[in-house]
Amino acid sequence: MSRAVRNIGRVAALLGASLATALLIYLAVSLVVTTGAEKALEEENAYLREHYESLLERTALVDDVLDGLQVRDENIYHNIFDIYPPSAEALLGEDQEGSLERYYSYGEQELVEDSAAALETLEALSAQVDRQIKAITTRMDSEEFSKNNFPSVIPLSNFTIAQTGATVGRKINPFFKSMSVHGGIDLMAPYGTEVTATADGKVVEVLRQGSGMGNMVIIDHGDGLRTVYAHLSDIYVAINQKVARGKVIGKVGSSGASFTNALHYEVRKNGRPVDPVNYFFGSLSPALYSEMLLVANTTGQSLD
Amino acid sequence: MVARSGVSRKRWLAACVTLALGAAIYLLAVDLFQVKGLKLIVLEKQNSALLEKIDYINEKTKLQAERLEELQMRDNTVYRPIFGMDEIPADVRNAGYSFAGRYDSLQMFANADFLTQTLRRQDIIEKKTAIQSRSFDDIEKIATHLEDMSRSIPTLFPVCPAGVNITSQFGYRLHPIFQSVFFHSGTDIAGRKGMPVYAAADGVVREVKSSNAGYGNEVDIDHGFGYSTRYAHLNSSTVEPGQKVSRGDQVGTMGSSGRATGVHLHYEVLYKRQQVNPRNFFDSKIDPKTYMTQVRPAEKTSK
Repeated sequence: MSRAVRNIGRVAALLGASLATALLIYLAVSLVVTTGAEKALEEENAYLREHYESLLERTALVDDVLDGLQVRDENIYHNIFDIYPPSAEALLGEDQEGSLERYYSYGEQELVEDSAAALETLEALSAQVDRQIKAITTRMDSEEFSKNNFPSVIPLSNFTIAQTGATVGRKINPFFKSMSVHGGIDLMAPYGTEVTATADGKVVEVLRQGSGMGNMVIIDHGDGLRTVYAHLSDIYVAINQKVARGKVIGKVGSSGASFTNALHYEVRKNGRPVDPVNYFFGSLSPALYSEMLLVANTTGQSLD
Repeated sequence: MVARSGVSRKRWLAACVTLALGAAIYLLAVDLFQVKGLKLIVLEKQNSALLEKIDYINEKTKLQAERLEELQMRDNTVYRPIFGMDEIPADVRNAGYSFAGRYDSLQMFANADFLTQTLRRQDIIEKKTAIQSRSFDDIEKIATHLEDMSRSIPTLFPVCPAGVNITSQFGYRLHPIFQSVFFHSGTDIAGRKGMPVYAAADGVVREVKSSNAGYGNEVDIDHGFGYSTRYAHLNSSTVEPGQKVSRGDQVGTMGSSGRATGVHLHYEVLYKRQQVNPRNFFDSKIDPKTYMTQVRPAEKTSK
């Protein structure tokens, strides 16, 4: 019995010693022998280390150059327009980048407190948005909106953001290169593209002329809202004619003092021009709306 | 002695077995279970740390590309149109990035694709930034002379509006000689032979042609900012190529040289080498007295 125990002990000792030996061999081989894979990796690491340093320097340099270019861009823009270029954040009231940076220095306690406060604000805001949406849907269901008399779409089909020109505001007149007030938005489109009424209404003005706004149609939608379509190459409606949303009223052209083929589109509320981009919600997703708003406001030169 | 040698042999045997077993375990671990060398483990750790660092640069370069794109957009769609400069085409902005063979030395590495991509991206952003920088050089040169721009736009009616008629507008017209519809590339202003013709804006005389065919005697003025004007069928010209002119300086006299049915000025406004409708620029209803205060007939023109 005791002999068996002694034998088990011996075998265990032998196995332990063998394991230790294996470990010793492993360590010795690791230290002495360098395999091909290790050699390749060693070379790669050396290369990476060297290039990481140079890439870091090059990236920093590009950053510096870009900073310089941005300052130059702002100066050129300021030189021309007397204002600094609008940014997406300024237009949409968003703090898009770098907003998380301040959290890096926060401790856990601060993070929790800050998040709780933010959550409270968000809950209050979402309740408010909820009320507003309910009010909007109630109004939408009312008779007033059962008609398509609100100009909420883009007057061109297959419209892309790239076709956006300058919107309402002080813009550079392309002919005289001087600042002048632009009363609508330029929607660029090829000659002959169909122009559609943006809402139900009645044609109150049809002008055919070679100067100014060129061939032009004005539609009255009621509630003090009118839309203007100018520089048309052709007009298909007559004065006092009733039109429905989507009715083709003319074709894009460059009649009158227009720099190139484009539709000059205006929305007038009680006689005063408003930014049509804010009325395009029937055609645009929120993301496209932001993009169009930025392009339309950044474009410094109008086309008429 | 026998006992001692017996014990010694046993120990010797145990040592041999231990060694053999140890070696077997080692080989089994390395071959069958792919246990990595100590050095390899360390190197791989370093490698992934380095790759992570380089990937950070990669991300940074992507952000830089976005920033640059915004500047390029403003350059191409805001500044260049205002100054009448040609847009920098995308193929120029992106040209010259073949970099053939430049990254061949990377092929030996396991992460060749990743490294090639990173270095390539870095090379491209550097080139694009350099192109943008040069473009701003050009734009700044013009932007500092912004006040010249309004003086370079052809806004002056080229002849005194008293006693002249606009006989043909820009656009599709019936040709007076061939009696067929053709595109009329300018405005025809009929008057008397010898009436002074004035420069519509500040500029440099690009060409003075004398001919009996086509446009006849003709003066071309380059106003910069993308604009030029052409005065054709002149009786005579009073300027020379290369001469600087101001708005209102006389450039010639009205005539009927070339293919013309009567005395008239064929006046063209070109924007980026394309004829545009001149009537969008000038005011032909200007009071002749006011008009005469804005022009300088040839004898008063300082050469």
